[in-house]
Amino acid sequence: MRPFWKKKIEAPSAVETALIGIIETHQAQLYRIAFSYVRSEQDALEVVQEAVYKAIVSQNQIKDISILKTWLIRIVINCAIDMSKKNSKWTALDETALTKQHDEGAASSEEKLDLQEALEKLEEPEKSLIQLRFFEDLPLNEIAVIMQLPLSTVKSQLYRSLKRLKVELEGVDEYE
Amino acid sequence: MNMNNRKALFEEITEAHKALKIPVELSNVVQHAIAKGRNEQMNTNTKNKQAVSNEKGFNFKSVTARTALAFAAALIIFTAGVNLSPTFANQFSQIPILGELVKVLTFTDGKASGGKITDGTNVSGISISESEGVEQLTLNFEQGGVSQNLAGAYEIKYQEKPYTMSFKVSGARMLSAMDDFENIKKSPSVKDIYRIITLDDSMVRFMIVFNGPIRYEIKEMKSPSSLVLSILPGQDSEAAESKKIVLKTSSIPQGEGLAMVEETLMTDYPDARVLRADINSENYYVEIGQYATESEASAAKAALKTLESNNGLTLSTEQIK
Repeated sequence: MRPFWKKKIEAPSAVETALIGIIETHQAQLYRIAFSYVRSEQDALEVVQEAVYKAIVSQNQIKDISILKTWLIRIVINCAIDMSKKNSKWTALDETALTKQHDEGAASSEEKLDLQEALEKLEEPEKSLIQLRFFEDLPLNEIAVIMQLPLSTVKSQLYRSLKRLKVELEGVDEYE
Repeated sequence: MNMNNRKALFEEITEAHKALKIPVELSNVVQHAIAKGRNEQMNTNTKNKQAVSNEKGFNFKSVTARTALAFAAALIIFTAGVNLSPTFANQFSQIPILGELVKVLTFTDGKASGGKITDGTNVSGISISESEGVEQLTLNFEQGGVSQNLAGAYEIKYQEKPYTMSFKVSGARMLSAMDDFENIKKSPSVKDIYRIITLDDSMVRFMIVFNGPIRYEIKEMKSPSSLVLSILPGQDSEAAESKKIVLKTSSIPQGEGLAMVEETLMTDYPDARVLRADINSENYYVEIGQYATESEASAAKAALKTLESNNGLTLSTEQIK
């Protein structure tokens, strides 16, 4: 049997061409999303690799090219959640990046860690909603497609997430 | 904590998130995943999934495991290397590389080789990155648009004054990496990079010219295949310092003529190399050899009278700068 690299290479389909373009254009964003879940460079690379691979082999499921990016982010999130479950660790942000800069008037490193802890306490899909809305700055309608939730549910869950976050932070304040 | 503080926190964390350092190997990881995904997709399309899955050799978990093993192997090799050259090993040790380590090349008289004999290899890309002061050039190999598992058969040679590293890949018919040459020239270490025409249509060659002497380390990787060249500033070898005079041909455009001259010299003058006349020039010459004295160089020149007459070239000697 011929090795795979000697097989005839098929021309990419329109979906595949578009998908590869989106992957290449947004690979840094995909990495950042992955990293925010798994908090390790090597794991985040692994998540991106797995997600891209899955996206390419599942491209036949795509009927509408306009949703390629949101579909891809959904895969990355799923892979990242699987990985973080496997590793039993989830952190929203790079702790070094969080604490390396602190100027007067800005929030203290301690407060940043409080927020980080509060974010960590959020359950899915609340973590992802906060992540996508505030860190990736995605519009609510795109988040709805990514999370496969009605827009109204995204809004209400996001509101609930923020409220819960506030409770968490206030809890820290009260404790202090 | 008041609302303003919380807003400031969110903004700061968002900025930190967006400023997250993107690893240099991300692009390679993505390209590898695309290539493997495409391969799997084609296999599915041909309804031969089961048969192909046995040979395609791609299993994400096993790749992950192999990568971990590669890091472990690299660690062992570096640990061994630390005994020989602590500074050198320490400076290179922090750089993660995609794939499994096949070997760290050992250079003898500036030469090293390795890889697997193939046919139809495309030297598909060359990328550059920098980490903690160490520059890294990564050379990738493909077959039919898919990353090769093993590097194609290669020979690498480092020479001094000017400081060059030539890459020769046998069984290769394409050099798509030429598209990356302009980008490679942006490296602070790299002065020039160009293809060298060869008479063998199943071989590709190219030359990197460095701005000064370098210390280097090259790792051969597999799954996916790559050659990873790590560079630090270095100094001239004793052998290079003893060479004062260079013997070279006149300059002509790259092509079969130059390749024939080089091939004629190859056996008797193994250090002959093709150099660009000037950074912006389209003309190249063959540096035949470097000599300690003018009389040695002149003797070599006299022995090559027929080369001059047969090829319409003139030979000249010059002080090495």
